[in-house]
Amino acid sequence: MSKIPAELRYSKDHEWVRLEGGRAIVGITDYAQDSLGEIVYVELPSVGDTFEAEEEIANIESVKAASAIYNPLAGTVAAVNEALDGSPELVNQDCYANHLYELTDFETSAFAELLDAPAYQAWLDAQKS
Amino acid sequence: MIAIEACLPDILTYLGRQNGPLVAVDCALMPYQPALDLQLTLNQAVLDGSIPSVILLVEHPPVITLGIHKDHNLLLSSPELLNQQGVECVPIRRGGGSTAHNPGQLVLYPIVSLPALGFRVAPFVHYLEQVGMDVLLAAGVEVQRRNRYPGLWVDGRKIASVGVQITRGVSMHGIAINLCNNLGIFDHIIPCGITGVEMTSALREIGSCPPMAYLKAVAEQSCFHHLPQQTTVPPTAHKPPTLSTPSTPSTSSKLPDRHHGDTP
Repeated sequence: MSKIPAELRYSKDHEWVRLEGGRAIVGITDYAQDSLGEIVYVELPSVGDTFEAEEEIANIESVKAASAIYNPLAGTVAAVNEALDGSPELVNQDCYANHLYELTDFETSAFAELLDAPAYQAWLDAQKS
Repeated sequence: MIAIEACLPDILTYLGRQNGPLVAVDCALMPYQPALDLQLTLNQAVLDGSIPSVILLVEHPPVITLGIHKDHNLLLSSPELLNQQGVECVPIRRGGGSTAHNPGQLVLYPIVSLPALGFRVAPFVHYLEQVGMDVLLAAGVEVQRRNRYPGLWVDGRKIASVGVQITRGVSMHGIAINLCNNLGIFDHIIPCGITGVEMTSALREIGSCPPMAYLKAVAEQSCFHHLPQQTTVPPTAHKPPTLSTPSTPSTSSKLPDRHHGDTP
């Protein structure tokens, strides 16, 4: 059973988002990290770059598999989680405490349109059936 | 196994008409860039659901590819020298670091919908390794996995390299198995960024290698055999290897019922 914190919003590509200090903090969900297995490398976007929603923004490598990560929310990268550079395994250890990057210049209405926890759970259930 | 020529001129229409969860296509000797373009086209079509999952079996003219793991992309020769020697160098979005391909190396490119076939990421990489193990066993070489070093090994020498890219659940790139290729090409790189690694091939290990056509047939059979159980198709539609090679051990009796579980 994947952990799905109630206070976060989610994309169908298995990213989570929360708002903090005017920024959107983005990470991958428990389902995503569990599916990937042991993470050995995280390729993060460059600060200042702008990405559309659903655009490929990062890559996570696990056991020789590079999996694309899709930006859940159009915006500009304000910061990345540099701790992942030396310790990519942090995402496996706690994917909700270890985000990937932070966005500015996003639409709050777009944030509101992301899935809430029950809707994401329903999406996961639909994928498995 | 379908020969690539049989799929032309419209490979997507052709593959869209195929039954079963997985179709094997023999691409023979194909330059890297057209093979990459083909993978990208098929990746999109599998993602759209317009074709089943596909596995390409191919040999490449000499080429070096670089993966996304920047620290593991280590070239020892200058681009000029590579160019002089007719070796292409292509950066791609595959997991892992630098590797090399040339004729005599069997490369498998699975364009596979992991959710549709019931795979998660780590077992999928192990599935490719299992197929490589079956091919090498058919060539008479027993190989091992190494904890924390993906790929296949013979007493510490690397004989097969694995690296995939997954886009919304659909894979590309795959596994490269050294059979009778010239290993000199690996002198241009530090394979997978592992300093001091020695590369080997079936030919180097045992002094001979069965015909590529036979080993491709083994690879195809193994790809179907090790699919997760719910998607396994009856082998009737796919001809088993028939080539007579008395010295070659049969793989069929050694294949487990399912792809093996997680190691490390």
